[in-house]
Amino acid sequence: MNNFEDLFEEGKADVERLSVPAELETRLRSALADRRVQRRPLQRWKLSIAVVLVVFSLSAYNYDALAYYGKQLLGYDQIMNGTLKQLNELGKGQLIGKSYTFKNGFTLTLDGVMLDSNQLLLFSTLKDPAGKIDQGDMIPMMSIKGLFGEYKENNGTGQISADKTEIKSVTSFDPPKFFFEKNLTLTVTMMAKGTMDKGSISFTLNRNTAMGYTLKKDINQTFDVDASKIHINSLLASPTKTVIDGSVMNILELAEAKLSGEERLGYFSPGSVDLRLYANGKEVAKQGGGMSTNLQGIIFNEDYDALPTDLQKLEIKLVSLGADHQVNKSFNLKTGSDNAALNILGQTIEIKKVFTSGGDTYITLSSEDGVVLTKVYLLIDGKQVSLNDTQNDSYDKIVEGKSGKVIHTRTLHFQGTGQNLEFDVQRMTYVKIYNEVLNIPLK
Amino acid sequence: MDLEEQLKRAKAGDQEALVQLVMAKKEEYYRLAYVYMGNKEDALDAMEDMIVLLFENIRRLKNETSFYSWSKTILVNCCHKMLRKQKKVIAMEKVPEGSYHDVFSEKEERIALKEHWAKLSEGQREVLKLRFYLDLDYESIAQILDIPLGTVKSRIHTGLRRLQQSIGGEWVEQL
Repeated sequence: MNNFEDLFEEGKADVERLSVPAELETRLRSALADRRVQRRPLQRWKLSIAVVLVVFSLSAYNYDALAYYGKQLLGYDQIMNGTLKQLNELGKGQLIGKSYTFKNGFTLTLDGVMLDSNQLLLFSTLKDPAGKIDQGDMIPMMSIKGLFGEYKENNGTGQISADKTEIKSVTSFDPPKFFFEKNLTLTVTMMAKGTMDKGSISFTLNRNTAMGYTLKKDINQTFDVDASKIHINSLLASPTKTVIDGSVMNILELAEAKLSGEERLGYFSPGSVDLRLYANGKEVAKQGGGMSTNLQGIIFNEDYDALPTDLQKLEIKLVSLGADHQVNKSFNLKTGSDNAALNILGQTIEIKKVFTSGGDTYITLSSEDGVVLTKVYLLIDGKQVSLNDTQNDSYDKIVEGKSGKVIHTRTLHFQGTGQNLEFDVQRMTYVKIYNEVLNIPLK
Repeated sequence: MDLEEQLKRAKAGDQEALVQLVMAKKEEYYRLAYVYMGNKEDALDAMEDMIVLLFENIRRLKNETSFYSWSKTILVNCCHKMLRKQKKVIAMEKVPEGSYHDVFSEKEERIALKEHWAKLSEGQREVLKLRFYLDLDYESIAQILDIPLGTVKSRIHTGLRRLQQSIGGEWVEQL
């Protein structure tokens, strides 16, 4: 190679082969939808009047509107789950009733909070007097700051009222780390027409209404399945929810796997593990979960509803796990739609159609959702061609008796064409059922 | 409709005119975004970000003849921004087909250049890609990246020199 242009040739050829996707125009147009031309800046005297109005409305709205109604939060029935509803009826929340009015006329009211060992819940109402709250991206971002740290929003649910004048929401934050952290400031930020409007509401936590926890357990047990290890570290149950903390490989195991050249859990994702919690033999509803990688390895948490008060038996069940497996199998394919289905490690992959277009070969196939060919080639007349891209993904729900499954259909695109086609599947990810149970001693 | 007329409409807030201005050179935009982002979805996302910024700022564009270089500069900035974000966020939801890790490295090796890429600075890689993948001349690169012409020349020169050292062997000087 003695020419700079040769060196860049392949990359350049790749770029020249690119065709502009057909959806570009619609995507550009939809990106612009809802955008309006910014109005000219207000004249100075108008602006100063507006400032005075905002200051006035700020001070005028800061009164305990809800105190009158007693200790229950009102109007949240629709978005509270059963557990929260019960707690609210018992008056377990703390009423706040403070507001901030944004420059665009929207008002955010912090109606109340609920605190236990797992989370700090915020109950808030966003009001738009104009009744257009469903239009545009108007949900304010929230963060809470205390003396000893900042607490980020974890998740939230909300509901728009029928007349579109308000959204009521419940937002979950990490609980403050220290019991003496009492004075908190909620910062709310709203983006409107490219400008940012930031306001804050301060409130004091009443630790007497905090609910603590109902069960705290170090578990330290492991599901050892197919050379994958899932450690269940601990369980923390509080009146609002139950959280299981675990890790998928600790840092030593990760290093070991890396050294031995095994990458079996390289694509572990939160959706790939199905872990369920049973209290007194009944499944506890799942609320969510999260995953992160840090010095301790891959750690995860799974959130469930609160545990029943008359708890006698507690079990954790590993239902299934999606992991990557070695395959190394190849299959002869022919152009057309009469190829036999492939059976790989007990999973069925249907070859719907093999066709050529524009000098390239395409294979349309379908399988159960979760089955992914993570390392796949097409041998075209003996020459190994790697996957160019995957197109036209579609998911169909199929009902089989009582249960249903999701079928994922997609088209794999390989460059070039030829007479003999051999489909070479080297690795595959799929979900395997285990149904293993861990009994948690309660004493 | 000519360029001037369409620009005038776009400036007055006509979204359709702006979309048509971009669509008129859709290939150039798309390839530029693709060279940065490396895949279709991200390239399209970057173009979406770009058109929103164009729409919000087109009134400030004084020199009408520079619409295309101005908008491409914005596109490059959008790409930079997305790449910075991607460094922080790794999507874990769906595993795409063919994502097993050594498939990636293999794809990179196919392009003989890639292994030597790492020895260049971000700035050098950027100008080399624009120059050789997109065939842009020095002048256009300077305009799009909003840097002086001399900087473009020196980055290309030192970039190639470093590649040459990394790869070794005989070279024909082409500058």
